[in-house]
Amino acid sequence: MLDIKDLEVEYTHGGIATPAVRRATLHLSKGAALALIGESGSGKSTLALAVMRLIRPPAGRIVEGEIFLDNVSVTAARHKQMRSILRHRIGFIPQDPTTSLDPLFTIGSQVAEVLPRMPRGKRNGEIGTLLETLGVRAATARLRSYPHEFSGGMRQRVAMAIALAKEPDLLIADEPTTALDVTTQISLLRLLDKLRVDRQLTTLFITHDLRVARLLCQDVAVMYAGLIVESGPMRQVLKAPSHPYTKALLELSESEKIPSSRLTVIPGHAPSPLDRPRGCPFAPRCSRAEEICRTTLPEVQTRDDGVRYQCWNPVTA
Amino acid sequence: MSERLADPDSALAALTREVPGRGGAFRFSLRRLRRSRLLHWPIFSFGVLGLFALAGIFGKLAAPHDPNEVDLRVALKPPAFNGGSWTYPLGTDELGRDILSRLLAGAQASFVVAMSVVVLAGLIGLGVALLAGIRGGRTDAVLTRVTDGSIAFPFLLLAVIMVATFRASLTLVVVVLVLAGWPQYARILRAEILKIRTQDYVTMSRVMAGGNRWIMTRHIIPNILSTLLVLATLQVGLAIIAEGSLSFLGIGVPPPTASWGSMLAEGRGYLTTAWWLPAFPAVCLCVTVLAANLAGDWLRTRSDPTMRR
Repeated sequence: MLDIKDLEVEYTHGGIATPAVRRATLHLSKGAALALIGESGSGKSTLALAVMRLIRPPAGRIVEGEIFLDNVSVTAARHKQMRSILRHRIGFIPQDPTTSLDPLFTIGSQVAEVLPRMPRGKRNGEIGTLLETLGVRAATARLRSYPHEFSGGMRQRVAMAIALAKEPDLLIADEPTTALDVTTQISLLRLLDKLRVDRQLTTLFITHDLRVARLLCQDVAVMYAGLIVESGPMRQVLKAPSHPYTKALLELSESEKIPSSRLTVIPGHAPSPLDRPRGCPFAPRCSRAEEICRTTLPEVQTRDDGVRYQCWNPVTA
Repeated sequence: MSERLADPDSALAALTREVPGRGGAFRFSLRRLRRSRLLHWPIFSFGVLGLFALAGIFGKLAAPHDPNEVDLRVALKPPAFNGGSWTYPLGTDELGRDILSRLLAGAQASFVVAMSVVVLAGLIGLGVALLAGIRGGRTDAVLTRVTDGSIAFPFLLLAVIMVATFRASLTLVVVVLVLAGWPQYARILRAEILKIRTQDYVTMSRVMAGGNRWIMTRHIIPNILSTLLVLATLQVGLAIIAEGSLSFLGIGVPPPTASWGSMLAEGRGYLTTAWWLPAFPAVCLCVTVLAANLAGDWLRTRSDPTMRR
């Protein structure tokens, strides 16, 4: 369904190019959900934007690599073709419900924008039903409300409705629940999961929360400093991570379960995109780092169970 | 006094008795007025601005005299309510010209200047802001420098240079004020556009295959419209003042054409002997500018959907 091959994306600012995604390779099969995990600035949102080809000059560009959506190349698509792909095949749920809706237009009109032309009564009925399935109560009566009259969770449901109204094949959700409280998070995640199963919706789910990812996704890809350091089926990766960074992340989320224990952290901090080490970007923080880690970027290795990792000295080979 | 307080019932009774007794009807109607939609409208500022517009458009037709007709026999006549005659309701100036007629003619100068400056400067500013904000990159860098440079250039120096180079005229006043006015729009609107461009609803719109033009007309322009309106209304006040200042300094509307600023300048010397000469144009200037500012304020509140009721 979605295939990303050796993708390189860079941002340009003031004539200086900053690599944001490096050599990213990903595969998503139809109806599957993949969690893209990483810290802020690890390049996960950039990767998602690149799939929608929203990284354009002068802000940045796709340097290399290819993105296929059902064997149609997104990277090589002509402008018109790309518009059609965006219009019909990709749904996007942004992160922040406070800015995901235009404050000047009613809820109904913003969802209607995505739908094909049809009589108003029928259209309002359809929008109402869609919003109801997304958990907006008395939706038909509230189509004429403005975004500021809705709570954050409700706005996010409307944003989801906009993403889903065109019945996309691929749903890209950029931390859609991060700005919400935990109970709302859970109910929205359940909803997304149900929708994925019901509609065979391929989902690219960006998050920094491993628990959220575990709840929703069968596949996982871990990003660090623009690099996909490990990817594969969620169960295999969680059971036996190969990359020390994945292992450290898992240990962190384990330690969260013990109340009032000391907050564990990975020592050091992520390298600045402008000043990345020559070798593996995680090497300065890695306890398993060897000489070669500091000088040469590791090759991608594939395990027997399908997990791919980029590490010279893996925890599990 | 203390006895009354000790007995809350009788105090309450006294209070309730007093309400219908002392102008209850008036109080009631005031509350009704406050609740009605009427007071949500800024009657004062819109009224004044309406009068200003009427005077600006039809003033010359309604004027009782020719504003430039000199008659030294009737020089410095006081206004009608101050011992003068109704022939010259607001008195005459040192050359015997009717002040009311000159005020109306001055309103025309101010109105023409204010309107053309607001529209032209607004359009130029909006265009520059859209170009800079949407194109970004080098276009943005160049346009922003030009804007900053124009803001940094002293307005009066620009006016003096222009008047020295060309001949002072109403058109020149407009040109000078447009040159001085557009950067304000451009700078504020560009910042606004940059903010809106990064909002998630614009990204969502792009995922809906919205092109630059669609995003501009659907999201960016509607969202900066309120800012533009407020800026424009405030600019009305600024333009009137600026035109007045230029005319006051003698580099604005050339005499004998009446302008509130030049009337103020000519009347300045008579402040102690014939107060009506400077007082009336000053009042006109103040009230109109105040009205424009209040209207701008009201528009700002009104155009924000979270403030709308």
